[in-house]
Amino acid sequence: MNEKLSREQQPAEASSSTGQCARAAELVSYLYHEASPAEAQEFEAHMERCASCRLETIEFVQVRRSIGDWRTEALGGVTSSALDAAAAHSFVPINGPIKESAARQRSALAAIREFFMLSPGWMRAATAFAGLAFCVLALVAFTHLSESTPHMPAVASEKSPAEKIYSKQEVDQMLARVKLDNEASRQPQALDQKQVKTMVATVDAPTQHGPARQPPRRIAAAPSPSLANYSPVRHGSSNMSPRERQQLAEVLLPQESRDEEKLPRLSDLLDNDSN
Amino acid sequence: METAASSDEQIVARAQAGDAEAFGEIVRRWERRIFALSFGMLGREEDARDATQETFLAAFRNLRGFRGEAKVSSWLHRIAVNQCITRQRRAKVRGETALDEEGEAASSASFFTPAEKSPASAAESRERTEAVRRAVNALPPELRQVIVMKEFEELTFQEIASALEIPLSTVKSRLYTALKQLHLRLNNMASEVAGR
Repeated sequence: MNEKLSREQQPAEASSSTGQCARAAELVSYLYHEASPAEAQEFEAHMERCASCRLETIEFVQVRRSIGDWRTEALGGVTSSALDAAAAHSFVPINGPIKESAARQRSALAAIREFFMLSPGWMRAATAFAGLAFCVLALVAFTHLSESTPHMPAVASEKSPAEKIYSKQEVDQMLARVKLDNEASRQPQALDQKQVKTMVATVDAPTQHGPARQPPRRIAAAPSPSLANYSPVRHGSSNMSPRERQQLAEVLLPQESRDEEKLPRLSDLLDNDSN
Repeated sequence: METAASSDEQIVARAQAGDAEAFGEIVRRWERRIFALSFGMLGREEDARDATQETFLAAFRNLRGFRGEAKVSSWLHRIAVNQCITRQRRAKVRGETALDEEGEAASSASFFTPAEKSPASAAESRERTEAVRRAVNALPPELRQVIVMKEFEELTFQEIASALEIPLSTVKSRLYTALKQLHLRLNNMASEVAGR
C-alpha cells in the first residue's frame, strides 16, 4: 500500500509530514473535537510553534470539508442525529406527511366550496361583505401601524434573502471566513495558529455538518472552489463597497424557500363560485 | 443516549424470545444509519440498499449469537461493514469497479431531492464530489471503514473502536493515515485536472 502511494506521489510536490512531531493522535483528536479542553489547549500551543502541524491541520480541514460536501450531496444533508430522531419515534414514509397535508388541504377547500354552494344568496353576500370589510380594516390598521412605527436599524428579518438586510458584523464574519478559506488554499503556510483554530472550529459549521449536529442549511450558489482550484493560487477579495458586500452576503447565506404556500383567498373562492 | 441504548438491548432480548415486531423496531431505528454507512463504503445507492437489507438479514439470522456484550449499534455496524467488504471483494473478483465507472456520477444521486442548482455550479459540484468519492474508495478497506464511520456515521472514536474491535489508538492512527492519503490523492487529481 505504501509503495503504491509513493508511485502516485512522484509527480506531485512533496508535502510536509507530521511524522517529525509524532502528534498524529493529538491532531486527529483535536480535528474531530474529541480532545479534552486541556489537550486542545496544549495542541493549540504546540501549533503556535510548529508550522508542519499547523499546515497538516489545515490540509485535513480541507479534506474534511470535501468529504462533508460529498456526504451532503449524497445523503441530502441529513445528519445522523436527525436520522436517529426520526427513527426513534417511528419510521414514517417520506411521502406520508406530504400526502396527508395535501389531503387535508383538499378536504378543507372542498368543505368551503360546499358551504358556498349550499348557502343561500344572502349568506354568501354577507360572508363576502364581512371578508371584504375585514381585509379593508386589516389594510388600514397595517398602514396606520407602519406609519406610526419609527424607522428601525437594519437587522436580519424573516424576509426573503433578496429583501434581507444584514448587519455589518454578520457580513464581516462571513467575509472573514471566505477570506480565510481563500488564504488557506493559496498560502496555507502563512496562516497562524489562531487562524487554524478558527478553521477547525468552523469545519463543522451549519452549512455542512456540525458538532451540535444541527440539520445543515443549504448554501445557494456559494462560490465554492472547483477541483482545478483545490490548491492553486486564487485571488482573494480586496476592498469591497457596501453594495458588493451585501451582494456577496446574499450569495453566501442559505437560500430560504421563496415559495410560500398560498392559501386561497376568500375573494378567489367567491370569484370561482360566482363563475 | 443511555436510555436509547438500553432500549435497543431490551428490544433485541424480546426479538430473541420470539417477538417478531421487536426486530422490526430495530430495523426501523437503524435502517437509515446503516444505509448511510453502506453508501459511504460502497458509493452506489443500489448497492447500499442491498447491503442494508443483507445486514439486517444477517443480524436476524444471528440474533441468538448476540449476547449483549457489545452495544446493538456496534453489533450492527460490524455486520454492515463486513457485508460491504464482502460485496466489494465479490465485485472485484467479477471485474466490476463500480466506483470507477464514468457513469457513476448519475447514480450517486442524493437520498433526498437535491436543491436546485445552476447547471455550472451543479457540474462543478458533481466533479468535486466525484473526485472525493473516488479518493475515498481508493483507500484500503481498513482506512475506508474508519473514515466512513467517522464522517458519514459521525461515531466517536470509542464507538468505532468498539464496532471494529480495535484499540482506540489504532482508530486514530488509521484516521490520520486515511486523511493524509486523501489529501495526497485529491491534490494529485487536482493537478491532473489543472494540467489538462
